[in-house]
Amino acid sequence: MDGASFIQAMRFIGAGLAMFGAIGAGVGVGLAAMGGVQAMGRNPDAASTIQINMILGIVFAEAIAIYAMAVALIVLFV
Amino acid sequence: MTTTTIKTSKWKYGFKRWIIIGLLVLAGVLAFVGPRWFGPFKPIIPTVTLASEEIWPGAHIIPAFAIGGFSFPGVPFSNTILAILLADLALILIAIFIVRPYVRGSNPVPSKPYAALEMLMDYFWNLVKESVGAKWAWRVFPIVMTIFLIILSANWTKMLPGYETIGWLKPVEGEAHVKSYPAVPIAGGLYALNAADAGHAAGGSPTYELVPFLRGAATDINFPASLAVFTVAGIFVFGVWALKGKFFEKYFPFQRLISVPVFGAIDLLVGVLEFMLEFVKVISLTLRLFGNIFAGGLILLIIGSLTVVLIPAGLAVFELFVGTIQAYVFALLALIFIQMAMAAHGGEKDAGH
Repeated sequence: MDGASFIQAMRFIGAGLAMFGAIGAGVGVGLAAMGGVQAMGRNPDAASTIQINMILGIVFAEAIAIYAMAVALIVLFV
Repeated sequence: MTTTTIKTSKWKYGFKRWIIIGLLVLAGVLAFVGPRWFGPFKPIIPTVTLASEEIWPGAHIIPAFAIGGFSFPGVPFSNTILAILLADLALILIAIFIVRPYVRGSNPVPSKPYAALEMLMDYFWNLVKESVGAKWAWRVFPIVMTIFLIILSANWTKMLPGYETIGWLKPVEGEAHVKSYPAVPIAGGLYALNAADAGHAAGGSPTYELVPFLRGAATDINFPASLAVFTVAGIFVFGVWALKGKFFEKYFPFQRLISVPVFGAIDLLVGVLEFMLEFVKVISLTLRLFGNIFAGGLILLIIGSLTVVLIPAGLAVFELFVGTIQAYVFALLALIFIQMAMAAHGGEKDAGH
């Protein structure tokens, strides 16, 4: 195996490993949505407020996965 | 009692859906059966580049120059700049043809698009008013709404056909990891990249990669980064505007250092950390928008090159949804950061809201 293709192979492995960061974010998004839906079920009148806060929580949790993906993209293409 | 008329159509399932089904079948035939007879139509797997490319070889907004020992590389006219100009154009056209006839015209009945736009504005107006109060809403609202509209416009115009698919051909010399295909002439000076014989093109004929004329503005990291810098600058401007000198006391509480030395020192340390965290917001805001939109575009292109019918259409709808959510989230975060900057520090109660 020559050097260039070895580096290319390691890039794919590295990008795959970087995406492990998405595990926690996935759990986090699920928990946030669970909490939001439960709260909306108990108190439907407050649904609009809860929804905004839920989306915010989801977005902050999702940001971690996006960082992981940014690292993976940089490993792959830069 | 209302009377309803049932329209009977000659076609059992309507006419338009037959056109759509016909187009789907045509796309499938061209992509899967076609390569044998009409080569160009098999979709290619595109070259993915993080940086934006020039819309034409050597196109510059500010040309490169050198004065003495200092040489300036120039600002290239990239395809993302053209895309953001088109997004701006869409907003300007909406302002001229939808908003202006109602605001300036004599017709008191708003048109449907205008009513929809007003509903959107009203939603954001209430959101801003609830969080910063009516007094400050006039000053914060334009910033939040501008961020939302420009990101929404950029993300929706990105879905128009032609983005990332029409461009100029750049010859590829080195083998490397760049996907390149031989070009097939279709008409006049137009060429299509042919994926059908990509495998056996190595024998001498030149291969090309596509550099699109238009690429979604948010797939260039400069667009979200500039919006994020603008937002963080807004945090400081509104913080100082609302709290005057007290704004910096939130981060550097020197008074507490004198009154309660030990806890004051801890507070100062925490405050300095919080001050630095304000600048980290630039990174998180930038990467969220950039990552989502770039990944969305990547998925569309790759899935679109694998399966031609049905699935890319569903993904395109999802992409519209993601674009809307990201625009909303960016605007909402800008609003919340500004609100947090304008709120006085925990201990003292602010009578305003």
